[in-house]
Amino acid sequence: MILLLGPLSDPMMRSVGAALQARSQTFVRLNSEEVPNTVRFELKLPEREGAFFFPEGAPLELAEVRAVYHRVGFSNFEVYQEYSPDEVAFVNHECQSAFHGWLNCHPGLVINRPVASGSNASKPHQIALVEELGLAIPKTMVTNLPETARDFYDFVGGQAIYKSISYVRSIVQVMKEDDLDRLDTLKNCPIQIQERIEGVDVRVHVVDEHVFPTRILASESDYRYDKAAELEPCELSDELAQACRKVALALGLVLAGIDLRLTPEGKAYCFEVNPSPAFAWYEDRTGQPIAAAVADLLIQASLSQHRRS
Amino acid sequence: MADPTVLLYGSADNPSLGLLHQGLTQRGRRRSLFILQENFPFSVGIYLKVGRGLHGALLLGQEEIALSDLCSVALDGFVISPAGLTEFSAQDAQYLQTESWACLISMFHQISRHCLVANHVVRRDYLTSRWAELSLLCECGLAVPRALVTSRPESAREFYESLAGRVICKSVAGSAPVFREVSPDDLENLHRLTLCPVHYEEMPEGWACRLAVVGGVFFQLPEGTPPPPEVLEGVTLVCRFLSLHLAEFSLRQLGPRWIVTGLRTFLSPEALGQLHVLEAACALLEQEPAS
Repeated sequence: MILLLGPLSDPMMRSVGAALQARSQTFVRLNSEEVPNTVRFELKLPEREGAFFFPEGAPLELAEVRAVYHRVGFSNFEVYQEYSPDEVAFVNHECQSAFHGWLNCHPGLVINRPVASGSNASKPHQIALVEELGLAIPKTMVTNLPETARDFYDFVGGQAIYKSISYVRSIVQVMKEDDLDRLDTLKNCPIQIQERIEGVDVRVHVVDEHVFPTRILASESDYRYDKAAELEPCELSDELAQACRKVALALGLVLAGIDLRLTPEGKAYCFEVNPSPAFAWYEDRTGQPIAAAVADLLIQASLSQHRRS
Repeated sequence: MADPTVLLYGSADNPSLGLLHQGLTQRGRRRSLFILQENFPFSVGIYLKVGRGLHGALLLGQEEIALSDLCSVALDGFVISPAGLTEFSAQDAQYLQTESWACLISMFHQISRHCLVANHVVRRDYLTSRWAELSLLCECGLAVPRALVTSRPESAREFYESLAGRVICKSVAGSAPVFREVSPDDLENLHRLTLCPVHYEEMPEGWACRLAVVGGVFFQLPEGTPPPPEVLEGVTLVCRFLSLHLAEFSLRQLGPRWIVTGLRTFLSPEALGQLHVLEAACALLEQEPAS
C-alpha cells in the first residue's frame, strides 16, 4: 500500500496524488488535519507495528504500508476552537513527534525520512557536507564579530551577501557599504556572510536517480521573491547531475531540491539543499514530471518486498 | 599548535561538565576551558570559515582560542541550547536561539573533523520522542519495554489489560523522562486520548543498573552480574550509530532477560562521581587529535 500523509491542501500532496491516480494506482490519502481524533492511531513496540483507524472501514495496518510520501513537517493536526495557542502547539508537537518517530524507522520507502532533514538545521553545516561530497560552495563565514564580518567583506572585494544560518527562511540580501555601519548588532546574533557569486540560478530536483534541473532567470538576489522570475527546464552535464545525485543520497534524501548557481565560466556552486522541496511550484511553470517520478518511485517500492533505508 | 585545550561547552547547571572540568584541571595534562552556553552569543565571539580545514576561533574577552588548538570537545550535544535571551521578545528570542543553535552545529561539525567531539549534535533527530528512542534501541538488537503510542482509547485499554495494569505513561515528545503510573481511575478518562496521543509503557521490573560507555569501554554501575555480550554489542551499535563517545544506558535484569529501559546521551553526574569513570572520561578527552 502507498500512503500519502499530510494536509490535503498541500500542493505537493495533491500533485503526487494526481500522478498516482493517472497511473490507476490505489493509495491511501491521510489528511493530517483529521489526526488524532477523526483518524486515530496506534504505534507498538517492540513489534514496531501499528495502525490508523478511520471513522468507517477497515484500519490501515502499518505493516501493509510499503511506501510513504509525507508532508508531516508542514502539517497542522486536529485541534479545536476552544484550545489556547499553547494547547494547539502542544497537540501539533505531540502528533508530529509520534509520526517522525514512526517515519524514521518504518521499514518501507519514506520520502523523506524526517531525520534526513537534520542537515538543514544549519546551512553552513549542510554546505560543508556538500563540499565534502564534491560540489563547490561559495566562500562563507559565520560570525558574531563585527570586525571579522568587515574583514570578510573586504576579503571578497565587497561582493558579499548575508542570510540566516538556520532553516528559518530569510531573504538573501546583498551586503552594502551602509551595512558596515550596523555590524554591531551581530553581537546579539551570529550571521552567515557569503561571497557573492555571479551567474544563473538552477534548482535541481533529485528524485532518486532522476534529475530535473530548472534554470531561473531572476533580477533579485533571492529568486524566490522575484515575481517576474522566469523558469525553464535545462540540462546539466553528466558530472554535475551525478554530483547532485550523490549529495542527495549522502544526505539520505530520496527527494531533494538543490540550489545551484552556474557561473559564466561554467563552474557550479551549491547554496543549499532543501529536504522538503515545494516542487509543485517549479512543475507548474516548467511541465517537468517531478510528481510523476515520485509516484513511480512509490509504486515501485510498493511492489517490493525489500526494506529501503 | 599552542596549548592543546579541552573545550567543555554547556550549561552552568550541568553538573557532569563541572565534574569533567574539575577532573581535567586536577589531572593537569591538558588545559580545560569551560564555556557557558549562557554566555553565547553575547559574551563569546566566534568566527568560522565554512568548508574544508578548520579556520576559526572563539573569543573570550581579549583571549582568542583557535579552534585548531582544541584537542577535544565535551558537550551534551543532544541538549545544548543557547540561553540568556530574556530581554528580547518571544519571537526575537526564538529566532536568536535558532540562529545561534545553527551556528553551534556548524562549528562543532567542523571541529569534529579535526578532533573528538563528545557528543556532537548532528544525530539527535533520531531521538525526538521516547518511542523513537526505544525503537532505535530495538533496531540495534536490544530488548526494550513494551510501549504504545496511541490516540485510540480501545488500544490503550487493551495494552493496560495485557500488562495487568503495570503501565506507566508520559507525553509523546517530552524530553524529560517524567513518567507516572497509570491508575484504574485513568481508564475512565481514556476518551481524552482522542484529543492528544499519549505514550504508554510497561512498568520496568527487575534489578536496575546502568552501563556507562566511555569510548569503547563499559562501566557497570553498580557492579553485579555483567550484561551478556549481545547487550554490549547492541549498546556499541547504538553509540556508533549516534556518534556517542560518552553515554549511559539504563538496564533491568529479570532472570536471564536483560532489558534496556533508556539511553542518556552523556554521562550522568552519578557516573562521573565514580573515580574510575571520571578518569576514563578525562583520558578520552585528553587524547591527541587524529592527524
